[in-house]
Amino acid sequence: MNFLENSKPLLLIHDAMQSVDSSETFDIMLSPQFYTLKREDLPVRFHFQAKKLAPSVLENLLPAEGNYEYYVFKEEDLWAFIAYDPEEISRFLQSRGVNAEQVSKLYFAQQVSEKFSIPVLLDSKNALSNVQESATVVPEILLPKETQYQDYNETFRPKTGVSFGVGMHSVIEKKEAWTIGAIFLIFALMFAIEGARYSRVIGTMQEKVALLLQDYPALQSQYARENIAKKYRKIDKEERHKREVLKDLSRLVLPGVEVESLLMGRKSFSVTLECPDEKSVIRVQSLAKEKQYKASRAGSENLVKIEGSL
Amino acid sequence: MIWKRYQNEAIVLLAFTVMTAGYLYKSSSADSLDRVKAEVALSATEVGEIIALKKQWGNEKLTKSISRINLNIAPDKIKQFSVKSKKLQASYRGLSDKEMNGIILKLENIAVQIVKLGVKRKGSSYNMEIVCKW
Repeated sequence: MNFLENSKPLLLIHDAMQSVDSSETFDIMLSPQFYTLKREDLPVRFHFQAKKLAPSVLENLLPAEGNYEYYVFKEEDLWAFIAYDPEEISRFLQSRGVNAEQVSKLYFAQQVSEKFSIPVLLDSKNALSNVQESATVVPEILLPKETQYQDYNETFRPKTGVSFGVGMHSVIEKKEAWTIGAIFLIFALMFAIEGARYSRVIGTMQEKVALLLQDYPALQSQYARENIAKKYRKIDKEERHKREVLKDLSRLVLPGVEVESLLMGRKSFSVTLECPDEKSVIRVQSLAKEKQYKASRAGSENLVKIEGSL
Repeated sequence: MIWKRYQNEAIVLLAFTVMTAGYLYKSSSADSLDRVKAEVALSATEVGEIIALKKQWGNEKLTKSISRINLNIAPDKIKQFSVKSKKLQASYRGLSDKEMNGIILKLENIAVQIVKLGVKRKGSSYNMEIVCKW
């Protein structure tokens, strides 16, 4: 099996062609009735340069109305410029029972003009022949009577052709479609690059955390971290509070005041201070109440008991 | 056939689909990044906090350094001073008010958990009991 072999039939398109009753896909070769040809000796080297010049080269040869496309190829020392109207061709094909979508490749008889040195009979009146290096439709009557004709067959297929029938019903033109498509793809690429960059950053951050936790295996679980943090936060809060209380109590030991007793446990504290006089008692009680502690006189002496919770 | 008929629209649609996929990929990556950032920040803060708190309130070196609360205290006033399993039990007799105050100040500045602190005046001196752990 040869996958490179083109299995599509090659139809020669000319005005007198018969209708085609088939739904298969074809390649078509246009007779000169469907294109305009001009050969020019232009000082251009590359195909794309020549193609750019095609509209101006053929400008005066084409009717103003018509939406033309161009095909350019090199014929020895000359550039061959071909203009064709895809819509006109499509309409003609439709009249012969062929939808534009059934056409795969489009070729031009001019591409194989030398093969028409032996003419191909198109109908009873016309033949396709090579006249001065151009494939030309000539009336059969003008050809010598002894002229031998050849059958049109697969050997006429040129090496290169033009895609045809693609997007014939599209609202968007081919050029626009490729432009819009390219813009979308550029955006897609930008998004993909940005997304990939984010992914790399995520990887780096996760590595950093893993590295940090490597030194503290016990903290690798989020649950364990929460529990340990909760435990130490509680200790920190309680112990700071105890020290604040001790500082507050030391401020209550005014000149002349002596500590009678102090008891600080897990949940509460109490301190008894002996004051030298009534004035000190009132002052100590007042200061203790400012700190939201419970202060009361203990016994008949100048003793003040201060209590609070931890 | 239909593909060929609307090939231009199909090209645009395909490119648009690719762009949308790219956008969704970028968006999901950005969301993941935000989530991971928050997680990493939280983890780093948590770990840092835990390490700091553990170093402060669970410092292994305290077993050695806790004995410094006895500085400038005459040995005969120290009735008990035992450190076992990161727990201190100490009692003092006949401390002056300055000595008692000094011990409390030192205790305040050492990161131990005060379980019990008891002070009782006996005449002009103080008896003291301390239970703490770390």
